[in-house]
Amino acid sequence: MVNLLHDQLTRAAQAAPQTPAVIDRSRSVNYGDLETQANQLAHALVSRGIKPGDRVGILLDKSVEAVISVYGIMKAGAVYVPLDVLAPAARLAFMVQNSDMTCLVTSGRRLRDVRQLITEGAPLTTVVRLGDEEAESQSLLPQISMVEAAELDVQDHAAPAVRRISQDLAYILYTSGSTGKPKGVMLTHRNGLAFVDWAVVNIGVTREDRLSSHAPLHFDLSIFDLFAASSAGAAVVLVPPETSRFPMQVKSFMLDSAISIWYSVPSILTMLTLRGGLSPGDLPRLEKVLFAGEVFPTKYLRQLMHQLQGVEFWNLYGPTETNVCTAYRVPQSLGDQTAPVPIGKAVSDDETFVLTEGGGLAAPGEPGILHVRGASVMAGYWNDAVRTDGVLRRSLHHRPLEDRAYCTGDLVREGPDGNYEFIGRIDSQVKTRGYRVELGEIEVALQAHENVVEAGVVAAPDEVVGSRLIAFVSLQRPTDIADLREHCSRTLPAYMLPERVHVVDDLPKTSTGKLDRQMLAGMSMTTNDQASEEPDDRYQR
Amino acid sequence: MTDISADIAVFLKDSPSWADRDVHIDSSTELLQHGGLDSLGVLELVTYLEQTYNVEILDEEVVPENFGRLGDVADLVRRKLATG
Repeated sequence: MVNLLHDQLTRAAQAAPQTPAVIDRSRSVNYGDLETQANQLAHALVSRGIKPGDRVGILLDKSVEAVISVYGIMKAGAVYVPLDVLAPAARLAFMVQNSDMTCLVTSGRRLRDVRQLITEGAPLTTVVRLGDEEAESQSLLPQISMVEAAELDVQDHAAPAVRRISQDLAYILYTSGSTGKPKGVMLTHRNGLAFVDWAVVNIGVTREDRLSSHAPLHFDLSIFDLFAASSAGAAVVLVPPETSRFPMQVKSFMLDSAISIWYSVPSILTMLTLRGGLSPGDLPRLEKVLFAGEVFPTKYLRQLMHQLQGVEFWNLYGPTETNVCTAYRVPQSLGDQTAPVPIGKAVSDDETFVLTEGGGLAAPGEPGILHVRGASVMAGYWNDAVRTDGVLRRSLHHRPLEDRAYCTGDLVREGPDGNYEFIGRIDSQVKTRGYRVELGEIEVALQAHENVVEAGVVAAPDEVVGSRLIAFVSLQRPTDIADLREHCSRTLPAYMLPERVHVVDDLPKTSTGKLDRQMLAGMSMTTNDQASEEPDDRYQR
Repeated sequence: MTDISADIAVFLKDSPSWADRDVHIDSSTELLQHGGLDSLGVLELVTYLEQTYNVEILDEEVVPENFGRLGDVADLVRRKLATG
């Protein structure tokens, strides 16, 4: 039987049309209306020539409209591509071009950004404007065909008849690429559902639940938020972006919205622990806290578990390429443990195994690279067979199957209880604030500046944000650091901008002439020590 | 601009989230609008204020009313210094 991500919405709408599906501040849409509006969008897209498998972008702030777009695009048989509203236009224009996208769904207030995208060379032909938000500037470009509310409202309420199967693409998420350009991770309906189905049963999501939606749509944590909610027929409550800046407001939000399942990166939870003014009993409706994306410093996790007594904690792990592939339910007490909690064991219909440098299977306790095969593993990188073949490798340990396993690049070891422990990366990919960043991409951006001869970026470990980005550059002629930063901000999102830029005469090299990152990391420690007199526990009070 | 505002402006200009914005920051600069302080930026600013001015900022004082504009932040510090 065919089962697609958006079929869940249809089932929820049939079972309980009046139940709230999405809550955004004072607005709420129920499952019946969400289904109808998604169907109408799907019809409009089909009538404008969108074919099964076409990519359709979403350039929207997190909102009811954004959720309608996700479902509407899939219902048209197309693939949704969420774009970060905070990313520079040049970066987004690359994604539009790279994914061969001609159609984009947006809102009145984002029309100006769409125009910028087009100026940057995005080959869009059709723009759908959802919602009744006033446009900041009405005139788009003459060659763009607009779809507005009047056209959507007259569409059929029932879903268009489009045949798709579960191994067709559902969405593409762009992540940082080491060669200087983002890469599109292609995920199928089956990839998404494999994890969602597991999570609803094993973590336990029911229609009584209220799920938070904290992560932006272009971040794969949103897959759980949206689709675990529709699978269970529960409501998802969108966390206003301005709320997460203030820990006390996060707490008030969780209380006022009666959130029972919270899911976010650890850094937001660390802030809640340190500045949220939390005491046991403050959040009586909260039952589960899930975190993913980076290591949760154990001392803050312990503190949070104390503040939220009785709440169940889960560590979910998985690169975007595998959705979530392992999970660990944190025990009630961490005792005196100081090491990070494990990433757990394989979930859903996945198998995980650890390969040593020589390619053999690692014994328990022996470090090696985590590999994943199974239902949650991506179809590949969009339009990039070379990079796909680089990470999706035929496993010698699963002959005669032709199945390919994803090489995560994460160094792990299997603990005595069978749970994997995360050790680190084998390459120069780092995590900052839960975002995955390739240091090479920042180096490429710096090197594109006319005065930069060479650039090297390292990540200095940081308890709260995961790591801080420190850049080293050698210059042809004196250049203002602010100018370098400004240059990078034209192609990189804010979370990828280096926090410190040090000018050096020459960058250290290894014997083979490659950038010596180890040496650079050492340099970043010494330059930090000299520059900063702040104590190590500066986030502690 | 007062000394406190000027100090805070220097601190802010040095943080990555301001790299792509006007170099000029004054008391009326909106800190929370598009591309301004993110959640970590707020936390870092609080830590900076506590250490630089030797004041304790309470959890309930870390709210938009006190961090909306640079002038609001300076006012908060002045209040803390006056009552501290």
